[in-house]
Amino acid sequence: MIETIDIKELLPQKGAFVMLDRLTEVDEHKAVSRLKVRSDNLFVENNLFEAAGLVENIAQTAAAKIGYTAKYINKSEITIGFIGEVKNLVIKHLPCVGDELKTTVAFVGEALSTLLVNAIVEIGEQTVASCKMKVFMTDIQSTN
Amino acid sequence: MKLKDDFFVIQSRSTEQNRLEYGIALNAAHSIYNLHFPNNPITPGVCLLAIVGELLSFEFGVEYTLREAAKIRYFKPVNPLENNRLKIIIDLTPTNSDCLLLVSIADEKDEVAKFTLRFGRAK
Repeated sequence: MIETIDIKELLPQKGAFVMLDRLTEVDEHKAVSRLKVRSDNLFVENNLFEAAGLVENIAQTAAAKIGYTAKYINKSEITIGFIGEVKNLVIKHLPCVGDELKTTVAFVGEALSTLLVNAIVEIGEQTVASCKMKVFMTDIQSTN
Repeated sequence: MKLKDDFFVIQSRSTEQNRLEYGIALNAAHSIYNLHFPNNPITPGVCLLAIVGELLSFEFGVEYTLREAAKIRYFKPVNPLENNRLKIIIDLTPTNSDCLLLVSIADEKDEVAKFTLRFGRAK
């Protein structure tokens, strides 16, 4: 069921700035997303998906889980969030056009309006990037 | 996509020993601001990160790519309609083939972001 949800319904980011294709798993403490890197992706340069795209992909995987919880569980509005902090980011190599990324985000803590996640981006069995991230949530509603 | 001369332009540049100081102006009319977010233009934090990488590559005339970030912190959203000018101070420590960077980004009033980054030469 989750895979059929239009990802745009869950995210405040729109159009070409959406950096994931779909969620494949969501539970209380975890979300998994997929992204096929296409040549027209905003963050592709010289056939490579750049670091900024990887970090945005991680942030939006967390945002999609938050959006899913808001829309399908709490029946509330999608709100805007920001990256507050990234720690221990390691980028092993940049994905190429055609690669399919699997991004797993584990929710490990929550304080006030801040969510703490551990994230890992993989292509097949290979880890491409990992980090810890703090996502700061606002009560600003998403508009179209 | 390159952000330089599209999403932002360099307005000033100065160097002193291992410090680079750039003044940049964000292009508030750029399409990214219609998507992030509709009716609420906020500079994506990852674009500030990408700008630093592009400035490094511009400064040295070779392509650099981000390998590690010990810490990336954003203190304040940057709305280009309120303030599109940023000052970016980069303190560099060159190692063998990599560059360690301490970066501070400020608008006219406050520091908006601070990064500790390691870039390597792109292959």
